[in-house]
Amino acid sequence: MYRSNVINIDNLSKKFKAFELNIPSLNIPKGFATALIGENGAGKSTFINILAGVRLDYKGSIDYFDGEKNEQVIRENIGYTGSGNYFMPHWTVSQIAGASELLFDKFNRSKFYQLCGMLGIDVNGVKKKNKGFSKLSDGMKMKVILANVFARETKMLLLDEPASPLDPLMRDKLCQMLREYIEAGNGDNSVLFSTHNISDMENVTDYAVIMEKGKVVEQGFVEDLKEKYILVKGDNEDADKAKDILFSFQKSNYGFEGLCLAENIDKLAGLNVSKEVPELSQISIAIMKKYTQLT
Amino acid sequence: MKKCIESYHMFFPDRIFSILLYIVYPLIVWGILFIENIFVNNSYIILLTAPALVLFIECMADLFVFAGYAKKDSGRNEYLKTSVRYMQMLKRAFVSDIIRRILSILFIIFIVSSVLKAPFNISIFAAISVNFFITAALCILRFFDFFTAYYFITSIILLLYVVFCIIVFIRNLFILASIIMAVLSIFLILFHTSILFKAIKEGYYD
Amino acid sequence: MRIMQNSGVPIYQQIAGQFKEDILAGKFKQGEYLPSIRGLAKDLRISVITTMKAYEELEKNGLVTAVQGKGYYVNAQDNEMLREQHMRKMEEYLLNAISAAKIANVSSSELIEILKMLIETEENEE
Repeated sequence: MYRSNVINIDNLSKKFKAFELNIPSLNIPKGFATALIGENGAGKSTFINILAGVRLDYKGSIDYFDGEKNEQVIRENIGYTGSGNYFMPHWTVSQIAGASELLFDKFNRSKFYQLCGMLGIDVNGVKKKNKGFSKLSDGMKMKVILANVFARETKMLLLDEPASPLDPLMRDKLCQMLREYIEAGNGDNSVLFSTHNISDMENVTDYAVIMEKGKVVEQGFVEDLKEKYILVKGDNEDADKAKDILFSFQKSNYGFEGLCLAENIDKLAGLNVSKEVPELSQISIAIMKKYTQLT
Repeated sequence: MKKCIESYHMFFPDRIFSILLYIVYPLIVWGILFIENIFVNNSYIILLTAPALVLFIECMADLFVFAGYAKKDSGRNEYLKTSVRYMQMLKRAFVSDIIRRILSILFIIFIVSSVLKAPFNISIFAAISVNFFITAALCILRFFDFFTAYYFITSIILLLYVVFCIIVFIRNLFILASIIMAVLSIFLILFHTSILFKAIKEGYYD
Repeated sequence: MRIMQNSGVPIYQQIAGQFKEDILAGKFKQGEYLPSIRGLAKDLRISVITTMKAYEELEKNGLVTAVQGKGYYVNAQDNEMLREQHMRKMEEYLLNAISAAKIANVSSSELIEILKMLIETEENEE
């Protein structure tokens, strides 16, 4: 299967006082949903902000849409969502629509209102009461942000923690909206989203990039990662022998479990263990634990 | 033109503010002068009260529009920053603000001076000098984004403006002062706009 | 199509298995395209890469062929393979009939008679 990239990153770095983002090389596949997984402070937001053009203080090069050089075309085709200071605090839903029309060519106001209706955002109520964006709850804010970004015609979505403020029902809806977006592009629409809770988004993740301390520590298509790592469970008699072979290891009174690299699985021969295909969340947590500063 | 006005209104807090700025504000100025006219019998004093009121209201109103915009702030308006048109939108809003202010000043002062049948040179001086002082005040004010700072700085500028007017009045330097201030205003506006744009651009860098 | 999240069988294998059954049963005609990868992912509420892997599995088994930019179409199915598939099914049904006959105390010769009769009526109907 032919695969190309929507973003190619080369030697990207950004130094802070206590932290450095450093990505020698990373490609985001085109036509897929990529999850950026990592604990708080791993550099996910900084990275997405750089890609979205919110932050320009970085070194290195980023290539978008097969070498597109026109900044206007690049920004027009990227939809970004973030938390925090996203819209001006006083903006009402209709002002947001007005601003989007000024800022982007391919913003569809009626689609925006339709999405607001679908997500349970009270467009008229907000208008009448003149309720500004900053007065909305976190979940509502994210819904308005998402409605606004999906009302634009884009080729790539960069979503910074889109699921965090949403309730489970809405998270499910978000996943389906992402799948619909990717289907509508017929291979041309890509999504990159960050999350520290991958289990909610697992069924919409095609490619995973795991970050720790500003570095990419693992990446790959989910199905490939699920072949690279094997979930192993066994009894405590074998725990000590297995511990040295396994990639990650966790022991309780009732036995041990951990991830084993497929290349090392033969070394477990002779031990009484069961093997399973791990979930992406299990892989992510094992890898994050390996690199974390937390103890 | 339409896009300029739309861009400008994006920075307004709400509809009520537009009504206050476009309709209520001139009425308040005229109203106060009308009351003043009952007690004070000197048309020069009344004529120079007008720009003083305008200065105070214009400066305080800016607290709700562009407060803090001269200050570097990287965490502001992420959505706007993802569009290449953000700068264009700001430029349109700033230019609209400058034009709107000049038109407001001219409108308010010339109504007042025609009612008072004031000499043309003094009316022109009032309009030009108040625009200059407001622009100068905004250069400082927009580094702050809270009420007390706006209130104190505005009060000080207002005091300076009154002293300045008295000097010009005593020495009868209306025409000379008008010419100098008109030229200085242009430079000040350019200087101020460049500071604002530099601050916005720096917002993309940490 | 039914997908079971916790059956122990990877989802892509479940999908590939069901398509394989459908193709062998003739539900997809030769040259017909399978649903688009991204459309199927949307409908099944799973990730694109999983459906893609399922289709790649089918391709590996020689059931479908990938066309760049168009999707996957169903190959001409090997007659020998199809015959074998149907033979196996036939044997299965006959075994069922035999065990039912045993329970009902029907002798082997009687059973064969019934079968012959059924074949005749079937042929007459046609």
